[in-house]
Amino acid sequence: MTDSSNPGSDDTSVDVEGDLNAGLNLSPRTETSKPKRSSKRRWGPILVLVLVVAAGAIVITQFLGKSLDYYCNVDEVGVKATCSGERSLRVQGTVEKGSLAKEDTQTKFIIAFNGKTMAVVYDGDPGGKFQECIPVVVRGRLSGDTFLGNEVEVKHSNEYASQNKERLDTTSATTCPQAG
Amino acid sequence: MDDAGFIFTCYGVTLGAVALYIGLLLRRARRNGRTAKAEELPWT
Amino acid sequence: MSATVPNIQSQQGVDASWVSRRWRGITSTGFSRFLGILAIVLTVWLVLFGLIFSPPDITQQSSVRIMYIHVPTAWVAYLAFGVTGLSSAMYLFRKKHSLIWDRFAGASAEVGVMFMGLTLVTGALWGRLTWGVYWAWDARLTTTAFLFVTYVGYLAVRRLGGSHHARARRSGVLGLLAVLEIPLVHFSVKLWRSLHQEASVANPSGDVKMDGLMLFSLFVGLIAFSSLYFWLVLHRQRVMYLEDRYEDADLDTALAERRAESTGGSHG
Repeated sequence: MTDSSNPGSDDTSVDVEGDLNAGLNLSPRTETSKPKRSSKRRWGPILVLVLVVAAGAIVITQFLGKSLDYYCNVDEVGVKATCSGERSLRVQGTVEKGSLAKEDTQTKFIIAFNGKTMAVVYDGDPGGKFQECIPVVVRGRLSGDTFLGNEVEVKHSNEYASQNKERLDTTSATTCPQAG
Repeated sequence: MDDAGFIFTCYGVTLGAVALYIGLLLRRARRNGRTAKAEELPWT
Repeated sequence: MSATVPNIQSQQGVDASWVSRRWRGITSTGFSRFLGILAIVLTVWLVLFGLIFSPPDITQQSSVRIMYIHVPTAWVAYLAFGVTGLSSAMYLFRKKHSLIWDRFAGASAEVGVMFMGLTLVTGALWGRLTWGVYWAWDARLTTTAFLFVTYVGYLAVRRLGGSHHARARRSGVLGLLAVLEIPLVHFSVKLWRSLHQEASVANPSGDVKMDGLMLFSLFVGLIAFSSLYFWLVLHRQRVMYLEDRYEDADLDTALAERRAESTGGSHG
């Protein structure tokens, strides 16, 4: 309520009205005292629009610059043209049970998909919910038979289960429970 | 609770943003509606 | 009050009806108050179920709690942009070209942009905890970002000026076109391989792979945010009516109103 009682802020233009408006509060109120704004060129929205178009262009080029599919599956590496071994790839597979090993700063594990496996060496400690029996996407380069990863992302499934309920039957198993 | 910082940030940011929006909305309503007469408004 | 500054208090806000409306809120009605109370109660429920009653997930542990916020914000954003598209069509194709449809379209888009922004923020928090990264340029995240940017543009287009009907026509066309992005966003996880998982509930196969109490918490979130959305749109639309009304009133009318206010205020 900044405009509630401020007789000192009356500007000179109101004096024309004279005694008629004595005691009339004409302190500026943002909306009423402004003339029609619609005739003026509005630069704010134009600036926003320019930024929007630029951001949209960045988003589209980020998307189309890479493959529309985020990753290749393990069994497609070296088979599918877009998953050839020469360039940097993202490969998806499930971390094999019992394959996870840490040596110094390196993390070694095997990912499997559709019967094919691939050994991965990652320099560092994968973040997120990285663990065995979870599907992951590794970005890196194939060197011989091992995949040198420089980025590991955990691909979570669309299944949600209570922790207390299913803990019992998964910890004792020697292989990963079959997921869809 | 593990990851409590992230989770409380998530709930806090969401509910805070909604509360802020409601606050701004009611302020704009009050400002723009101060000379409006109730019987002129289509929803009353 | 000194004698040299007469009646300042009596000129402002002493009108009994104005005072009472101020405390009730000028844009509220019985129905919107009911909606508001419902939204508050359900939001409290959401916090209780999301943070306390629901169990931690077997792989995500507690980060699953972000989902009870993240998924409802995304759903409400879809709903909001859908309503914008529908209202745009109502304005453009009904003979009457009623501005109320345009205001609903604008109000809904604004609320939708807020919720879509929250979807991106909460999703980034969840992604950091579960995937290990805040952001990935995969199909779902990219199309969502594009949808968000599109509707920020829509809101800017609404503010370019001109008459209310010019605004309504211009943004109406955009509102109709932009809504076509929603199926692209929703089915992006089916169309392409993405890091983001497929829908757990709104998927065509129909079997929901989610624990009962988790599903219930998510359901509470959906209902809570939906009622919040309707409350917000109703009020935003009414505030927009008041704003339009002010823009229409030129200086003479404004002065006349103040004159009436100063004389009418003394016997209020």
